[in-house]
Amino acid sequence: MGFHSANIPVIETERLRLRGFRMDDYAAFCAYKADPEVTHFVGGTELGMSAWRSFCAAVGSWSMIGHGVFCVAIRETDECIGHCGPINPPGWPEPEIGYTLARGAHGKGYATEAAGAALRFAYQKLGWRTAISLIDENNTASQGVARRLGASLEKKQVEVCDFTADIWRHLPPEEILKSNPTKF
Amino acid sequence: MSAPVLETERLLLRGFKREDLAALTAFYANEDNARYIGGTRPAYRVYGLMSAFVGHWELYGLGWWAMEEKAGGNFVGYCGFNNPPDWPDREIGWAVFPEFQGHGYASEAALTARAEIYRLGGPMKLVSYIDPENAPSRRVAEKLGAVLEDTIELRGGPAQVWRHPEAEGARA
Repeated sequence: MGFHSANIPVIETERLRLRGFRMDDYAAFCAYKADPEVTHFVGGTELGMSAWRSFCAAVGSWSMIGHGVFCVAIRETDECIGHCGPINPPGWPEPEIGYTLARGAHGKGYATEAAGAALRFAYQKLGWRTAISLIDENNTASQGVARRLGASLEKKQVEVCDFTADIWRHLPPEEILKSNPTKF
Repeated sequence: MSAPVLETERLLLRGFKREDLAALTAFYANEDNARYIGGTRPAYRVYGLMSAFVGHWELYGLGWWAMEEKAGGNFVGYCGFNNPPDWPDREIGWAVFPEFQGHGYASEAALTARAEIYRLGGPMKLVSYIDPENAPSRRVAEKLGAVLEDTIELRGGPAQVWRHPEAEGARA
């Protein structure tokens, strides 16, 4: 099934809205992309051209291949606090649910809420049959998110393209979709 | 919006398709090809780059085109508009894959792309940032009537600033 970026789907959860990035999210995006604490386990800081390209890519992949990264916004204010979504770039071992949140948004359960919605979306709307998350072996916060979603550590230290990560396997569609259906 | 389709004498300028990924990935895997345009990158980063070329249009209303040979349909390179918000000026850039270089495709495409950028974006300062050692690209800038204005630091190295002539009859 295809989407056009002009209508990247919008998903609302209890406290969050997953939607396409807009230009007015760029300052927030740059701020957390430049934060070493946020990016330490996900490829390092991105500045300038590199941040701009990632921002544009988050929007463009939806129209090119029908899925990609959502902007994660606070539902009440629409303020961008990070990104999250189904991704499957060339060289990936399997389709992945990725998530990154700004430092100020950590510790509130937002990542679990956002990634859970993205996982449901991937199973229900994209028809994915499996999903993993690639997580650095020292990224305990992200491991906690995966665990809270029901995922389990499957394989340690897997080489993926130019980095190494652990594979966390998410619960299958039957398990994820049987409870708390998200409306898309 | 998505990239408008433009025609030159020998080329079609069109938006990127997922089928372009293999050729672009091969191009960026080669050190000689990628030296002046940010260096080599693995497939998943090229996929990100191509997504960014597409997303640029949607976020900004201007962006990048794939160049396709009208005769034969080969994907031969790309050109377009780049606007990293922290760069001093907005840029028109181009790259032609080695097996298709030497035919004047870059200048042919960039001339038409530049007119369209002015048409869509209105009057603006438009430059091309070119590595001082990238002689072929410098010749393209000259053919387009651009003038060497300065040399600055960009992406951790020197970049010549080639200033393009302003639009003729561009709408505000």
